[in-house]
Amino acid sequence: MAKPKHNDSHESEEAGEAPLHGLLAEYDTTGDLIAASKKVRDAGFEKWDTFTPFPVHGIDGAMGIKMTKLPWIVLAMGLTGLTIAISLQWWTNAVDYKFISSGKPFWSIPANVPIFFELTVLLSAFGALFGMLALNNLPQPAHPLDLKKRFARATDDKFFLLIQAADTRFDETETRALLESTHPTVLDEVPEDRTTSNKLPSGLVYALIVLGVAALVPFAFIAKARAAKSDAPRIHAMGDMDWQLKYQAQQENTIFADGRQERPDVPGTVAVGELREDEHLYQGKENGVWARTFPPAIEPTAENMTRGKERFGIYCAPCHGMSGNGDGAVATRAMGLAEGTWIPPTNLHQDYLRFMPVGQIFDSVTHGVRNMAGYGQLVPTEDRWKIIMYVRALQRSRQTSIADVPEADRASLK
Amino acid sequence: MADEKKPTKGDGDKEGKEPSKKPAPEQDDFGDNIRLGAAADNVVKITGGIGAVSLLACLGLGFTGDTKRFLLSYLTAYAWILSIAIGALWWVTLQHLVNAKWSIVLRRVGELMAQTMPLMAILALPIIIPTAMGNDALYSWVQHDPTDHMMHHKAPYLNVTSFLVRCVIYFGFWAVLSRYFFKTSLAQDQSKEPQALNGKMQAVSAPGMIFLALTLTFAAIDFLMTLEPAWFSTIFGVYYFAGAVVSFHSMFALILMWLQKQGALKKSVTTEHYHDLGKMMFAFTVFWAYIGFSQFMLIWYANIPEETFWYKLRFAGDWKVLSAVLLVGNFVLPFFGLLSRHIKRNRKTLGFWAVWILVVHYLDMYWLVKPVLHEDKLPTGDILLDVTAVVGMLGLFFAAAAMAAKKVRLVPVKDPRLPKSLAFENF
Repeated sequence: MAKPKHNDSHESEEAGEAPLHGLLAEYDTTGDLIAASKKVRDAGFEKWDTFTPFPVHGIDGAMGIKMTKLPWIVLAMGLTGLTIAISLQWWTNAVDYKFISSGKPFWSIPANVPIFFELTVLLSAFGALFGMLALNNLPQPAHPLDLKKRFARATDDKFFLLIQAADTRFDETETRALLESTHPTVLDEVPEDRTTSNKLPSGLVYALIVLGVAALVPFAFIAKARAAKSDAPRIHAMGDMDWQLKYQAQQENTIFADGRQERPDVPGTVAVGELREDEHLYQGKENGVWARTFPPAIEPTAENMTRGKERFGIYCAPCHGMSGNGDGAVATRAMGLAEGTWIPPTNLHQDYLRFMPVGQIFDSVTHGVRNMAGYGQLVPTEDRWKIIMYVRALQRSRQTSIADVPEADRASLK
Repeated sequence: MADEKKPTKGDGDKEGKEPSKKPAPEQDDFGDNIRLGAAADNVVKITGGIGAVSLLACLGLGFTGDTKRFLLSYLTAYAWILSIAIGALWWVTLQHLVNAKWSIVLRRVGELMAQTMPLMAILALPIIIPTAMGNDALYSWVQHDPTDHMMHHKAPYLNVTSFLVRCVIYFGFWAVLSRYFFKTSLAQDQSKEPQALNGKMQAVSAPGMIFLALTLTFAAIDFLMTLEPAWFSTIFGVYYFAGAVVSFHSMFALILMWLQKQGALKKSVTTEHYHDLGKMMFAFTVFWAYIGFSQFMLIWYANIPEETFWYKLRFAGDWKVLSAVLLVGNFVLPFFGLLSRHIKRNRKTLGFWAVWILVVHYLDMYWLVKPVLHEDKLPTGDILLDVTAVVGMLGLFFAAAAMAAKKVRLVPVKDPRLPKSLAFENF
């Protein structure tokens, strides 16, 4: 092995001007470097590093490098991404702006999983990249080793070991002796870099600023659109989606003889789940006569009654009124206009309605009666029965006596 | 099958005599035991014996009992064991294709696992023969119904003749490809120009990989997807492939652990190699979930009855529980279980997850096959058929691989990349 060759003249001049950054030992082989690393490691140094042209097997053990924290950063970022994806979609879809899409529930996990996946991966990747940069103290625009011409061979065929003067155990003579005992081919002093700026190149900084501002432009447009009104037609960013090659409802279709775009069921067929064999449930009849009882599937439970009350409030009360007197908001308004064309809605407490079979009421609700439209298309079958159940309760509420009140509560009414 | 094999050419030359009782008399200048020796005979005798008895019992139950239930149990076990063999062949092909260096020391064991391909062809016979004879207990498309409009249009593909032709192509190609890599690798042990053989194998591996992908996809469609001939999913082959890769790596790790217990490869196969196998198990656990979900989400979103009925069957009754078990057991738990490098580098924990994955992969095959019965309850009454089929095929699988392993080195000693593989380290 060649004898350690000390500072060449050019570099020692610089060393005189600037304080010492550290001592740099150069080796010809990975074996020498690993042996030297073990010595430096055992001497207890902390601020030191090795530089090699390629990954050297076993160097992390020889340097006593602990397992990197990076996997934990990546895991934390990945879980953060997952959390953001879940809460973002949950808030926008299930809470803040409910919108039915493809007939799926507002909060439907399968549709959201791709975003779970993407945000988890995206933030994991950010964690891996930026975590790696941060753990390596990068970027470092200037480093004292850049001024060492020999050091360029760290990317070619030489192996280097640098101990920084900032290390608490650093002592110029002792550390020098330690490194010499590892037989480096060259042992060199590295002065601090006082000439190169440690700032990022200004061009890069300006480019980042410009990009950052440009990234805000779409948000500026969104903010403007939210605050201002415009007569201009909307922007069609995706024409293929806005004008799809498909038939819309009620459109003409010349393929078929009757010219209708909506097709009726093929004669003699029934769609899946549309058989409706149960005469009682679907027609309100038993053996062809109006049923006087509710279908067995509609049990008089508090839950069904609550549902019926709610549906009644939505579909019936606007005309019939919340208590069924025929004085709903629509009716009141129409009567107030007094135009003479308005036929007042029925008072649900009339005797003929009280004694009408529930099956017949169901038929009226489903298909409409006199001036009232049918609600069969609007309100599901079970809900219509629950509404009628609630109507029956309303009617009953006008026919009560003190005997209906539990004994314990009677005193409070007297 | 493996017992039809003659002593490999290279070894025959060197030993110059018939294989003796001592299978490893020659000196391997390797510094590690790379011969299986007497343990191979024991595997052939014991597990082979158990396997043969168990499989005969299964066949016996099949002949006396309900044919459809027998065939479904048999197909479930067969899909499971075939996926491991195909996984092995895929792995060997991949190592050649990408010129992998870390895996050279493991390659021969992978090649040996792929030597079960002739056995796979034989094991397929109980599925193929009834189908060829026009029995539609398993595949309803065997009986052509011209009034079924959709099936009538699928008939050019789904008929007995073309099914048989495809089976010959699948098993023929798999056997030839696995045999080629094995033979060439053995020849390399004696070769004076081992590098040239690496180039040759790499050249074969590229088209080999393409045909392997095609045959695997079509085999998965033919054997599993056409159980419901009206249903289709273009990603189905990839789904089966994902399960094949993850379960092959699990079986691979377990076999290597067993080999090291027998005193073979003790120094050559290190924690670093297990770590890499663990990474593959982890990666393809995620891949399986990714593919499984991709298949599900498109069908769920489009909501077309001719596609959704397949999932509707699996979300009804007890199958719903099994579907949830698969999601958790085949993805969530192994994902977090295999996430840490410490678990992958510990043989006990890696072994645990390897066994786990093989079990849930069997459940996955069960989930693919058995709902075709259209029953709400799990067909637990067929458990005897299920167990005998799995034990039988697994026993024969080990025996076939061990038979091929009897007289060969467990490491391709002349491969120029071997030193890199031995010194391999994960960063």
